Formats: sequence, structure tokens, C-alpha cells
Amino acid sequence: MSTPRDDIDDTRINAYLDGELTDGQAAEIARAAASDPALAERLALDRALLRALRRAHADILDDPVPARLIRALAPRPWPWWRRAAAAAACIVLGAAIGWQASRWSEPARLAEVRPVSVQAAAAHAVYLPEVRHPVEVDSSQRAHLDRWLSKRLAHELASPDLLEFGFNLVGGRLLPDAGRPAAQYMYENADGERITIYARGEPRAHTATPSRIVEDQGFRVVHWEADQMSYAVTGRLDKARLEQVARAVRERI
Amino acid sequence: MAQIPRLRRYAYALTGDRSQGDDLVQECLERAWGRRRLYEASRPIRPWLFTILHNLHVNQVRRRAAEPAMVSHDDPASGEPAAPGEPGEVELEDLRRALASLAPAQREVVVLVGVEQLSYREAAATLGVPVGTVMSRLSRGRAQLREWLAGRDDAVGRKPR
Repeated sequence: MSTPRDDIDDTRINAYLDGELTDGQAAEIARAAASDPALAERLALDRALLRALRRAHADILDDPVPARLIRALAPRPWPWWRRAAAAAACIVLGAAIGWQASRWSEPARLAEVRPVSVQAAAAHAVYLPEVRHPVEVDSSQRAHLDRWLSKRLAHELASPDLLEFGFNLVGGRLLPDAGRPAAQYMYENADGERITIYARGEPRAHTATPSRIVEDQGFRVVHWEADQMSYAVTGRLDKARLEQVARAVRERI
Repeated sequence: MAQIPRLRRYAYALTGDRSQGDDLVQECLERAWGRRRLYEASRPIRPWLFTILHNLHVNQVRRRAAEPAMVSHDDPASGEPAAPGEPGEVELEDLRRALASLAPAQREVVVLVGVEQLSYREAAATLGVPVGTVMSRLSRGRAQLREWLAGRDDAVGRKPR
């Protein structure tokens, strides 16, 4: 397609459409378009194209972010490629081999187990925006849900009653956590605010720890260990309120 | 975290495929995490992430240059010609294909400026090229899309008059 006027080339037209011209230059193009139907048509065509381009890629902004992308940002002490890079550097330099060997001897599996607060926040972020499938088993089958999750985690779990805080059980689901089963219960209040309880086995947790609160991915997470399990309560509630709810969860779950 | 949807859109527009785009975003985030010490907190984070994603995409294109054409896995209209005059999703799918047919260097600029609405200067910084290069690639890329549009006689290309 030829450009309508010799002194207004593709580059000028693009700069005009992309808001890269000064006000004076832009006014000049607008004036020219008013008296030049070919230029006006060309501008309309380009604008339609830009609108369609944006529309063709608009939906993805509102989609829930896939879990694997959230996980990609979760802190891991030694990602494999950093180890590989460190190892390569050491070999090249021929230095610090003994130190590196001690690094290698660390069991790889340990690095994959992430803190319960990180896992809980990631799972919370994934299922929080779900409208139609927030849970696998809903609260109408509460007894079945508790039995099922207790069986899979090999630990007695009971979905706690949080009605006095305004939270109703939505349901729950089973999740993988470093190759082992974890459980998530979801609760919702009348405003649609959701909190989740996350639980997983913690074979080395022989002593109960005090509850701690951290912030992760824009959520607050209260977490603790007890009875070879770790638990986390995640939500956007203010600190005092979330701690209050978490205390009740700790007593009742 | 808040940048992920924008990164996904950029990667989707570059690859023309959601799962390939997400692969790219995942690699980008992992790399960004690994290099977080190199990131200066005073600078805006999005251009930095966009640059990482761009570089990964360039490498990927290079790697795939010898392979057969990519097939979109989440393309419901794949193989079916869009009915003339039928607006909507099928046609946008077609536009995405037209975009995917551009040379990667042109596609990058068309997406950064057209979809992500970066300024020429920001796009140039993201790609590590002069502003003039951004402008010439943009001209060529848009000319090709216009040709594609002119070859069609349906709603996207319908003149306002």
C-alpha cells in the first residue's frame, strides 16, 4: 500500500499512532488527514489493526496465573543450574574442590522441599481466583472430605468450624508437595474473602513450634509445626485477625 | 509477581501459543530469580524482565530455526479457513497467525509497541537496539500486517466509511 503523501511516510504515521510525535507534529498529521482521504483511510486501517492486535492478546491478562509460574519465583536455596554454574566455575578455576564436593553430597531431595509458608501461599494464590472449581470436594461432603484427607496424609484432620469469624467451609483438595500429599481447606466469608488452611506431613517435626506470621506473594501466612505435621493459614486478613483465626484452627484441626 | 500477567501476554504474543509462552515466562522468572542480585532496585522491574524474556526468545528462535514450523496446541480454528465477514475469535486467531508469520525481530517490535504499548525508547532499551532500528522494524512489520489485512475482506479490515 502506498503512502498518501510524500512527506508523510510510514515512520511518521507510526510515530503519530504511537504517540511519539510532539503536539505540533501530531496536529500537522491530523490536519493533513482532514484534507487527504487516502491518509485518513490509512490511519483508520492502522488503528483498526492496532485495536485488533490488542484485543487478540487481551484475555490472557485476566487468566489465573498458572501454578508453575508462581513456583518459579518461590525461593529455592540452590537451584540446579546455580549449582551447575558454581560447579563449572570451580572446575575451570581448579579451586575449592573439597568444598564443592560437600555441596554435591547434599541430597537433592532436600532442596526441593520448600517452607510450608511458601507452599501454602502458592497454593492459595492458585485456587483463590477459582470461581467454578475452588475445591475438589465441597462442604456438602464434609465428613467424607475429612476422612479422605486424613487417610492420604496419614494424620487425623478435621476441618475446623470457623463460623464465629464469619467463615464457612467451601471444601478442600489434595495437593502434591515435593512428591508428597498435602491438604488444603478453603473457607469463605459473606464478602467473598477467602482463607485457606494448608497441611502436610513433616516427618522431622517432633516438637511443636510457636505460630509465626510471614508475608508471601501479597498474602499473610501464619504457620506452625506440631505432631510431625506443618500447618499454614493463608489470607489477606489483617495481621491480628488472621492470627486470631489461626489460633482457632490450631486448637481445632 | 504482579508482572506475571504482562509477561505472559508478551510471551503469548511472541510465540502465538499459550503453553509455549508460559514455558518462556517460566524460564524468564527462574533466570530473573537467579540474577536478582544484578537487578538494581531503583530501576523499574518490567523492562528488566522484558529484556530477559526477549533474550530467551531470541535464543529459542535460533534453536528452532532448523525445526519444522510450530503448531499451535490451543488453536481451535487450526486448519480451518476463517469465514469471510465473520468477526470475533476466529479472526483474531488469524491475526495471531499473521503476527507469528513475521520475522521474529519485527514481531518483537510490533508486540512491544503495539500490544505492550512501550514507547520507542523503552522498546529500544528492551531489545538493546537503537531507536531508529525500532522505527524501521515497526514500519516493515506493520506493512506486512497491513498486507495481510488488505488480503481479507472482513470485519477487522472493513473501512469505517
